[in-house]
Amino acid sequence: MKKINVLDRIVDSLDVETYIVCKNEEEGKKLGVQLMKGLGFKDVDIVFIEYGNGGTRVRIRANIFKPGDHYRWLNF
Amino acid sequence: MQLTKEKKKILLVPLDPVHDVALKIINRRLKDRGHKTILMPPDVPIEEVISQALKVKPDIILISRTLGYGVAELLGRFIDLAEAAGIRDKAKIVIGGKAIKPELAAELGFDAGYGEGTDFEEAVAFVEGKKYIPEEEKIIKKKKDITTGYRYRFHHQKIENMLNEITEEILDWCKDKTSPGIKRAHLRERLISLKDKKNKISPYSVDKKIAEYEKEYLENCDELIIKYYKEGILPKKVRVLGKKERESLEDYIKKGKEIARAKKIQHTTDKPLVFFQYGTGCPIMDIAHIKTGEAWGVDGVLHFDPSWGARTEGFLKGYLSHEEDGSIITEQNLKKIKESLNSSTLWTVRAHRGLNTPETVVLAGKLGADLTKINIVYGSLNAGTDPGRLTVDGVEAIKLAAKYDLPFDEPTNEELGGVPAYKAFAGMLIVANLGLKLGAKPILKPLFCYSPDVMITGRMDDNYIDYNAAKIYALRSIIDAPIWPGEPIGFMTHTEDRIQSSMTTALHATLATSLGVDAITIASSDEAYSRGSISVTSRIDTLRAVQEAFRFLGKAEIKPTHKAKEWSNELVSQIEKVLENVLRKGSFVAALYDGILGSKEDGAYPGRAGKDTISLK
Repeated sequence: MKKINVLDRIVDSLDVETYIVCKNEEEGKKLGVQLMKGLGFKDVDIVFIEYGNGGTRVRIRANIFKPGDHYRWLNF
Repeated sequence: MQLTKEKKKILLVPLDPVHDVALKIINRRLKDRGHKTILMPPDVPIEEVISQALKVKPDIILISRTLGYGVAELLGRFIDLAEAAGIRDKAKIVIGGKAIKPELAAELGFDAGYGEGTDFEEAVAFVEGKKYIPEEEKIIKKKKDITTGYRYRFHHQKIENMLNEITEEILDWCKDKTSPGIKRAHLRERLISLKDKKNKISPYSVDKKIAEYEKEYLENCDELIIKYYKEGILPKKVRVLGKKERESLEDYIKKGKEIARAKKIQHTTDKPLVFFQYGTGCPIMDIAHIKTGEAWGVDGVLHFDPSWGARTEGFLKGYLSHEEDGSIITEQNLKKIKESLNSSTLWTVRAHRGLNTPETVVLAGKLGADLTKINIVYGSLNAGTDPGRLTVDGVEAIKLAAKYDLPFDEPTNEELGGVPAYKAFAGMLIVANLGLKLGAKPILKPLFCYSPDVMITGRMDDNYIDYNAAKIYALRSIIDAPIWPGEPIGFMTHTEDRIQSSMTTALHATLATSLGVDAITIASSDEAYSRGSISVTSRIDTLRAVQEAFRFLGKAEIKPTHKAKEWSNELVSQIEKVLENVLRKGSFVAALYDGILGSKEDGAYPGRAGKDTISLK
């Protein structure tokens, strides 16, 4: 069976929501972006971040298809 | 009790130490439907169950089993004993519960087996020998007319009289005036009608006429539009969808229709209907958003176009995608979006604020939209269009809305710029009354928002309920008209935190339900996220949150404090004063320029787009 590239089935973006232990929000942002880039995503943005006592709650978005792109899921 | 043939005697047996809630629920439902039930206590030895069955002679034995440990042995032994006792031939035996799989039930010799997540109604259907139809399949979602049942009667004589006087002045001022926007609207009507007539007159004549109309159309357009028609030069960040993309889109729409199911998001109330705005920039992505929204229960969608489109005379044509917010209005884009909609989904194409207002209403009407959006005051003061121009165009747009039987809503988004609610409401009521005089059906759209004005005056320092409720009370004390808070509800209360964002939307939806309004427009949980486009999952976030809010509230109500009534009275007298000032000015258009319906100090600026473009008819 042909292996499916699941990213081709994602309509627009992939969000990762997690809690990262860090010194402050700035470091949390850097680590969040580093995490997503490490996973191979190029177009990455922090959607939301909130620091509290030793760590940050963060949601990082990797854009897979933006409006106006050629969407591979359209052919599914 | 003598049971009729349809009514059954059922023995309900929880074969667990404690887990008997499901059977209690089924027991209640069966009793409510007139069946005779005997519910045994939990954790009874199976021998005792057999002896009870021999005693009561049930038609059906319903057994539940939650715990998985030793389940096959236990149930197998039960069936053996039932057979040995001669019960098996007389009663149907059914098993359900978390530990059960239908295959296991069949293997052990049960008549039916229901696993985890089974709807209680499925068991009831089995008892009654009926085919089980899941709840979602029973829903026949139909389009609703938001204006049904409203008589548009004024309850406030003084305000009605003032509105009538202002309306008369506006209509008189507009009667000999026209604009490039109005000319294009009528050319557009003729162009679409010609295409409809293609089978009736010779193709040569049609093409000749189209060329003639298009030439005239372009004489009333801006350079940006002319360049595209004549030289194929597109505005920046706009591209034409390729043939392959369009073919794939056809397939996508077709497949979507085949699997489409309507979901009802409301719980025990019929109102409010739930809308969201789409406008990702790309019609394909818009359709993905709409189809997702429909699957999660949205009742209607609003087309959101780019702001530059409203400041440009004329429309582009073709299947166009735009890399930024707002989906370009073209006949082809709109047609494709319309084609994708479920038959129950209400569709609004907003026309309210720019140089293409009348033409947008024509497109909406001709392409089968259900609603449109027009507000001369907001468009003039906070959306950049010259007040004189938008008054002339707005009146024509309202006439067209009446012609195409499109109710129109009136957003009061000038509040977001800082204009106090009472001024925005005075403007909205003027346009509503214009609508009534011209035979259209206006829908009032107050904002449920944390506006700059309430921030300054501190009216929401304690809660978001009282002032929003005051707005609804005030409008209802003036006129019997449909009310649809927007746009979206909870404006300026959202943050980038999706939990907070969904929560504030849901809470405002709860308030809207409690106040009995007709519809609401909700945001996505990406509402406050401005560095990228809105994601499909963020749509689901708020639809789920709103569904849960509806479930939570049911027909109960939120009780505002005494402040709501006080502020409602204050709003009504402030509206009166604004209308008096408009009348004193003697001209609605002059009142717009002079800040009576929203001043520079408030944060309203008369627009300049389309200035000096009005001409005599």
